[in-house]
Amino acid sequence: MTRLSKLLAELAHGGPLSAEEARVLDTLAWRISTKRQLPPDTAADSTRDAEDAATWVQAARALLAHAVATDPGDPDARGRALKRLNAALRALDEARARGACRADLTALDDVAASTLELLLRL
Amino acid sequence: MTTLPMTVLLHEGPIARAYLAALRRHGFRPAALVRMVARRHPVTGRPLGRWLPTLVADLYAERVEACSRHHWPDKLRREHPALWLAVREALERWRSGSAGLLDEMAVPLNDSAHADRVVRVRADGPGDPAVLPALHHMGQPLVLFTGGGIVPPALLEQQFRFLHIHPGLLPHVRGADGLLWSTLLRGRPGATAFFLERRIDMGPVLAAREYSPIRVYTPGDCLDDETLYRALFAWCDPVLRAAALIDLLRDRPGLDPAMRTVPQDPAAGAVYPFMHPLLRRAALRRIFLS
Repeated sequence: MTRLSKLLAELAHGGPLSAEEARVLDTLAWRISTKRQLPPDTAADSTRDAEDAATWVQAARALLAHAVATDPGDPDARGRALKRLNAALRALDEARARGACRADLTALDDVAASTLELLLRL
Repeated sequence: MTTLPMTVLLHEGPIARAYLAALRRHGFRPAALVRMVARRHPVTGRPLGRWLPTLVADLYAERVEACSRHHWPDKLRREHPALWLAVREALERWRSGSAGLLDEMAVPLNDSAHADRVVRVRADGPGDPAVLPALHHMGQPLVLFTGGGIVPPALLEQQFRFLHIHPGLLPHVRGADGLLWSTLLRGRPGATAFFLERRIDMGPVLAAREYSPIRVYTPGDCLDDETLYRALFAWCDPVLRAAALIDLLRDRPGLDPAMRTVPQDPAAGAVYPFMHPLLRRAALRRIFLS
């Protein structure tokens, strides 16, 4: 398992994030949303890693696991969650373009749709 | 007419037209105007009028640039007249006088009618070497930046202060697609007048406010998200920014670079990227109602 995959697997847990994990996740989200790239520092150990459909699926899964508003009444908290969801949707697009497993994509599409619905209802 | 002690730095485009038309309609006139005329085509990047004599090349470039930057407003008005009327009505309801402003925005810019002193420079953006001497020549320390590129640090380090209107409530909504993120997160548009600094949307704030929601009752025909998104940036976003500029001038009649500002808390809010189409659809559905 590469460093990036390991990191994404760790971030995919649903529990609370440490400050450092949140920072890493938000850097990942920003990089995906603005450049459609996974962070080069974490992908450095495998250039293929960043192009691999499975890694993009992992990134989407990690982002979706934390696209949750900690304080639903606070627009900034919802904004942070929606930013992660935004990046997850971009990651899913990249995974789809790279021919990711359909079952994985369908499952994550469903999670993304329900997360969006929840965040917009708050 | 009240002459404002500032230079407007502009590229032809919906935002520049909205600002200048709004200023004129409210009795303001900038002291100076520096109009950047693109060296290269804004979309294709090809040099404009390279083989033509300078004077003809400048006129050609000016014309091509205006057509390019107004491609979507013109196309939408031509191909979706019902949408144009719906947006016009909605913005008039939102803020009285907006319909007239939009009508004025539909007419090509006559820059010499908007300022006492006008200089045109061939420049692709504020970082072009031709811009700085033009701003110095105008001698106004306050510059209204109307968009069209990033102001480079070298320019920000000069004695000028660049006033910018951001379509979002700072510090909460920074970054791209401000009107859409504001609508989704806060339920209403916001706008902030602030001075540019190196970090994007982090400069000291002159005025930040939120406005009532913009509701466009779209005609029966089914319009795709791309069309609605283009309409938003052709008309709603420039009118929102122009409204914020006029509000600033009403609140701070003595416009000057030393105006009192409020520093932003860098830890507050977030910088938002361009929206994914799925989120964008959700935001558009809150503005464009059938």
